Amino acid sequence: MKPSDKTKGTKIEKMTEVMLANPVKRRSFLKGLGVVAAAAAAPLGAAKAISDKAEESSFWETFFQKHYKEMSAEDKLKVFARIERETKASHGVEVKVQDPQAIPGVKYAYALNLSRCNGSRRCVTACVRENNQSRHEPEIQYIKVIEMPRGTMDPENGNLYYQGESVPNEGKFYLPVQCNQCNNPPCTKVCPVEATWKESSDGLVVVDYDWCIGCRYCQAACPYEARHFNFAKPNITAEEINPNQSYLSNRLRPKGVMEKCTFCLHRTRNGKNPACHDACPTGARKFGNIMDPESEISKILKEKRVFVLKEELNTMPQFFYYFD
Amino acid sequence: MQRINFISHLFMTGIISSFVTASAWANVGDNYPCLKCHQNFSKAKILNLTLPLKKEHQSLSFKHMKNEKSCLLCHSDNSPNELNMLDGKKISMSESPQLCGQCHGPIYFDWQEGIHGKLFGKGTDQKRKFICAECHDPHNPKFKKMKAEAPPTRPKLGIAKVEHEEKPMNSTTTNEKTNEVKSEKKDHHETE
Repeated sequence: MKPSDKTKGTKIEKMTEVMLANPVKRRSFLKGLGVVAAAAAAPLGAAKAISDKAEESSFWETFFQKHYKEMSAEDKLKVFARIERETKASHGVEVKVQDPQAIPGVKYAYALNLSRCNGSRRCVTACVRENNQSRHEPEIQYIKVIEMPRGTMDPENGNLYYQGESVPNEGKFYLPVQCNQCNNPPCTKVCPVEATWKESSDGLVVVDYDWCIGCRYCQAACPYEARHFNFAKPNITAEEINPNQSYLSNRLRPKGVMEKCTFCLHRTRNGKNPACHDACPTGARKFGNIMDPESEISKILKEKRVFVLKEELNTMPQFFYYFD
Repeated sequence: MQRINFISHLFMTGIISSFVTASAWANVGDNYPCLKCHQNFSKAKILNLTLPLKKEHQSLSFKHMKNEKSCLLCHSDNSPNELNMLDGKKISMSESPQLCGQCHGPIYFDWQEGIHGKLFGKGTDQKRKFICAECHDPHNPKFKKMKAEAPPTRPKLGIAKVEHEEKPMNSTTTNEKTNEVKSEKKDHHETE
């Protein structure tokens, strides 16, 4: 079932209509499986567990959903409506799922002043709140703040779990690490189903959560540990849900898919700054359009001695660090 | 928060009173916190001040330039809403970054370009710059230490790591091996 296979696509559409119109009995269900033989094994167990009709229809809708890049505008609207319906059913929250498109002539980059970062982890909490991450079991945080002794640069032996009643701790400095939105991303190359890709114009690496099969190859490929796996259904209460959602970034993730930082795509493509940027109490973070020579980020790249993490891997990160 | 309120209050009054003429001084004093008590603030009085200040000013700390207490280095001696540049030029409170830039040159140039300090506003649209004293207390400019948010929970592997440290299995075995090798070599030498 490759996304490029058009003849199968039309068959599948017909199948979906039939499936949605008729309540599924075991016999007809098995017949249906015969047609879609390749994908039969996985949904069999799941289909048995589904009792409610609404859930059943959304199950089949998800099952026959096209790849994000192949969806027409109408398809997208249908999918967004389904996600909104599902969130309403599961958490009782009215959310709005959108799909902001890249702004022409904009390519995002991030710069972080390590002399200013005080390790207060405000960016981490703001990110979790903004992106509807699972709060505990699994606990997913896109940003890791690594504490290291001053005068060293060894993130792999740094301390992720420092406690701080009054940060910065004596003799320490802090290195926040999140997705580097590489120009040459190793994570997208290993995906066997093309569920993750780098957006061509603004350079954000995104995941189609409905297309991801959860093989975790990308997690192994990423040298920055920026990809996280939903081992269980995200643990998030109704009050904690951020209702401004987007399909490729912060909508509620299903169980068993990868997720990652998208520079708050739903904010940045609407002309705002990422949540971590706005939460920083010291102004260490700078975000902007690298194509605009007058933007702060371009000026930092011109004037400061910036560096990237693991430069030798040729990933070409778009996340720059500097001291001043 | 108190500090921020105080500073914002200072600046609001500074901005408002820049439109007020010098003859309307009495009215300004109603809003300007210092002038509530210091109507007759003279240069001689200020120069004779000793630290710590009176009870009312215990909350004010002076940790700028190694406890510099000469107010008149920056503040104008005849108008509380004006600042003295080092060359004697008077500037208003809202122009204060120029004053800070006299000593903090590189940071001042960074700030002018938008590199230093936080910018608010839409990413591609107009942004709002903060002036120095909106983030830094001019009398105690270093950022205060703050409480860090809770750390992430340790994965379960972390417990195993501690156990390994108690019983460094690999290291002992390798040591024993190397010792054995060494002793064998020694024996070899002796026989030779």
